[in-house]
Amino acid sequence: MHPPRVGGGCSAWQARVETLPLERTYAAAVSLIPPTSADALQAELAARSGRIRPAAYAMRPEVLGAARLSRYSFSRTMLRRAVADGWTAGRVHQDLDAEGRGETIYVVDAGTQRFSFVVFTTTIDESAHTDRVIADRWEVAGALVDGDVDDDLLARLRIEVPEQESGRMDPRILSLTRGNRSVRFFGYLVDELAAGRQPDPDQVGDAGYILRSTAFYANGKFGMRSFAGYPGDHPFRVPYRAQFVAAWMFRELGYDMVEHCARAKGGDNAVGFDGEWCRYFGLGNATGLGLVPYAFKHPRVLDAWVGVREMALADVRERVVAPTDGAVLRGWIAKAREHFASGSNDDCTPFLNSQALVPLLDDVAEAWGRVADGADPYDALYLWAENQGPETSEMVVSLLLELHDGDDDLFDLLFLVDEHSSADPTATVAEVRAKLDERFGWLGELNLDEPPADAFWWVVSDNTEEPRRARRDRLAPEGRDVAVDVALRLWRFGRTLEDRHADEPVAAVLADHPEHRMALERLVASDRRYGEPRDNTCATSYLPLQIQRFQLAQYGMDEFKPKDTDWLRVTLFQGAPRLAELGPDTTDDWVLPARPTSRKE
Amino acid sequence: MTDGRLQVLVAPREIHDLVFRCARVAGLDAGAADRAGRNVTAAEVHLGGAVETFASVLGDPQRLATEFGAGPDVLVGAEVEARATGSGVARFGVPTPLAALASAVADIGGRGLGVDGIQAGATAATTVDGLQVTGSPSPSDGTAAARAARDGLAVDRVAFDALIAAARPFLVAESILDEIED
Repeated sequence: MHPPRVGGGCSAWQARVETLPLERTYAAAVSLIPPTSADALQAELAARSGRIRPAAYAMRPEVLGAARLSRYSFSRTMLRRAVADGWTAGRVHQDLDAEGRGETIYVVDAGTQRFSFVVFTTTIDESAHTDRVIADRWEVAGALVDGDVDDDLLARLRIEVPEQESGRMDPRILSLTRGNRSVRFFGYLVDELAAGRQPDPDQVGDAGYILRSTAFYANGKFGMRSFAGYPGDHPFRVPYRAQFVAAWMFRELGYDMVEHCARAKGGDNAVGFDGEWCRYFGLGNATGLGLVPYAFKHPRVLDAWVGVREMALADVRERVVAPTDGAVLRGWIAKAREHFASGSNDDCTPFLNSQALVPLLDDVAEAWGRVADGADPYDALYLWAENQGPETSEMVVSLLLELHDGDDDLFDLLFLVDEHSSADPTATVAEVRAKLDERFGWLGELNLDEPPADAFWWVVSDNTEEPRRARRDRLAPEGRDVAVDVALRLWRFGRTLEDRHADEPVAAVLADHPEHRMALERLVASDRRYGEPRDNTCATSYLPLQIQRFQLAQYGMDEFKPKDTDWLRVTLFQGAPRLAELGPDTTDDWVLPARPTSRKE
Repeated sequence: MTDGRLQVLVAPREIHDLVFRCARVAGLDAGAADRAGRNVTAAEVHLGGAVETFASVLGDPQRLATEFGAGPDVLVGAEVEARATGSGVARFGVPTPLAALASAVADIGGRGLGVDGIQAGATAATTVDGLQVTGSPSPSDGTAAARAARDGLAVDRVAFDALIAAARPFLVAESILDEIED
């Protein structure tokens, strides 16, 4: 079978990733991803090796921390897939009281399979609202189920789903989520619709959501289906697809609940959201430190997320300008400007808030005007942007990616990675040193021998297992540390290797220093360009918001509003089509909607 | 949701995560604990009974360290010898359950060598005094792993609950974390 072709002229599908004797592909007995698929992204990147951005730039914390949603964010790839494959979706059951308490079921028909999103809603006192994952009560608790839900399963879900982390799921359940209503706006929206009015844009402010989620568990957590348990032709055999289908329906629930409560309150006077508002609200999300361990424990996943973006960027930068391209890019710049101009001026330190992005986008438009008629205009625009700093460069990256027309079948495949690896114990110290220098040479820039480098350790709280940081001088790890101290571990491993004979096998080093085993395994697993953020999670200066923002942007979230150094609020699916709108005419330009400007009664 | 009174349906990653935490609580370093998690999970998937076998050593940290921490190192030593001479023998010193070695055996197979000495019909609880690393690996496929990922694994409920309880000290009380942040 011939591999599919990709836009951009890649011809390197057969290229193999170079491996040194240090590492071996893990036994096929546990690898479920064909080697060709696992290596496909590396082949694509190798074919563009002179044009992709170096990891030394792309993996800098401040660059990762300036990422924005793009054409290849998971919310958008999910909806494009839904359109391309003719999915249909809708609500099949709603049993709510006047306050919106009860049960709702949505169904997605993906052609070959159906999925149900079952959601239980209640109300809790405003004082019990919290964005933290540790909350023990939620107003919304839902589960995405493979197939239809019969009475027996529904009865079980009623018990287990509201329990969240304490509940027990089974492989029929694909994702588990929960959240709360927006305290500020849910009641206001109900009141307005009940009175027959559309919301006042000035009252809504920049509220981009009705409901705010805090987690989308999946992949074997609490007994749910493992990702590897999806067969090759399953619609959710793409990372995060199940979670984003659940998130899309979670967002739909917000609209349905408000309109239901408005009808209950206003009777015949009540109206639904009109055309300007019916897509404006997305789903809010509050994100804490839980994202950080994932990013630092999955280097090949991180490489795929960054690598896909870099591959697409390289294609666009060398693109020969077509007559319509300039207008398309100008349109996207204008759309982004309008969106952010209708946003808030809230303090979003260390990020730029919406209003601060307006002059930045004016500069981008001006720069495009200067280079559009020159040679290699897209490359010229990017190079200009990089000189302005990460907020500008990553904004321009996302805008440029709107011009990329990659094959979604291929890009879905590129996000699949095989994470299995194993270190060869017979590799010599010299070979390991060489690999360490090649892959982690940047560690020398982090002052890892200085006390501030080791100020924190990462811990899991006993309250719903929320990851936290703890100061080492106030609490000793005593074997409870989460191994995301990658920079420190690799650095110390390298120090130990300095005193060993070059020809001895690394197994001998581990026999004397078993504490370095994890470092060796990480060194082997870290065999991709973009797998390692150039950062130390244990340092005093470490800023979790940066890697969090990168991950959230890859998910498709925007409107980054940090609440402190460790957590932030975001919005996703703002502007996205509603369930009933899904169809062949649904387009992919729904992102960055401007806030409605007029009030209609 | 349970599958019968005495078993609970779990995902493979749950076994790995719990074994990792239990091993850390018992004193293993992060690398050895992660390896123990992979071995027990692979043994449960391919042989069955691994969760019970691991649970049986939870009350004996020394035994846990010897069998699940050091056992795979002995096998690795035999692999190093086999690479140099064509064959290497792992002598474990104490009877070591396959629950402690299953992933390590697969790793060696992935690097092109076979492991002899595992009897047909062995389970995760089957112990070995020694194994020989030599020749070519046995052919294997991903059927069992795929099935486990798709359908979950039915494991002994008492043993699984024992792992949950033993893993609990890996967590730090929220109240303590809040206090040291002040």
